[in-house]
Amino acid sequence: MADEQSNTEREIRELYRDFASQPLPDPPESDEELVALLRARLRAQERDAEDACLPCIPDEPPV
Amino acid sequence: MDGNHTAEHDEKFTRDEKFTRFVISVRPGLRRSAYLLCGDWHEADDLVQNTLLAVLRHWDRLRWPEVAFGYARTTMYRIFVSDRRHARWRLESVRAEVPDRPAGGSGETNIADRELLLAALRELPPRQRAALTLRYFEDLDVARTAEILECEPSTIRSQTTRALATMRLVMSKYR
Repeated sequence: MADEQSNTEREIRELYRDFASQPLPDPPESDEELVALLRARLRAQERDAEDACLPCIPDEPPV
Repeated sequence: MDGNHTAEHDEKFTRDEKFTRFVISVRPGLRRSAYLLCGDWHEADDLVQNTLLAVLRHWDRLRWPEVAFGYARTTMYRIFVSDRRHARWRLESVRAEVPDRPAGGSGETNIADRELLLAALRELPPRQRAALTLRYFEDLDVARTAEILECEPSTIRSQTTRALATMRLVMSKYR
């Protein structure tokens, strides 16, 4: 049982090493595009957080 | 992650430039790990994007590249486990067929082995898959793996044992 486990362990390490040596497919966007996207998402999240703190604006004038 | 990021070297870069350099340096490694977790490049790239967004949110406090890298890796594994726990996913429905072993030469054999590994990994529950990837792909010890996955080292040991047993079963079935 212990032998079987260490064999599987060794085999998995080898397969991981093989996977690590393979080239990666191209990402959907360049690094610069990704950074721009992340900044935009962060800004949007910060804006939403600010908006959440503001009181609601009534649709109609107070009576 | 490359080793060229020294604090002294980084002095001349602005905060924004440092973040861009960080992304360039860690993205390939994160994508590779994310693919082992997700088993799909589209989901892996989404996971990496969400991880880097969390890093950007705390970028001002991540003053050293090594700390930022550790933070990014921990964040990615925790996002993965948390997302899968909450969604209980289409995990079953996206499960790929385990490929037959080809009769070709060694190049083909390697491809089949790799596909078999990925297919067997997909058979594991998310936490076991994460534990296995941290232990044998990232080469982390039990204590660090437990810290990242926020559990006891004994839990990691038992999850790893169960994961290896499942992997052995799946892989032997298709050989």
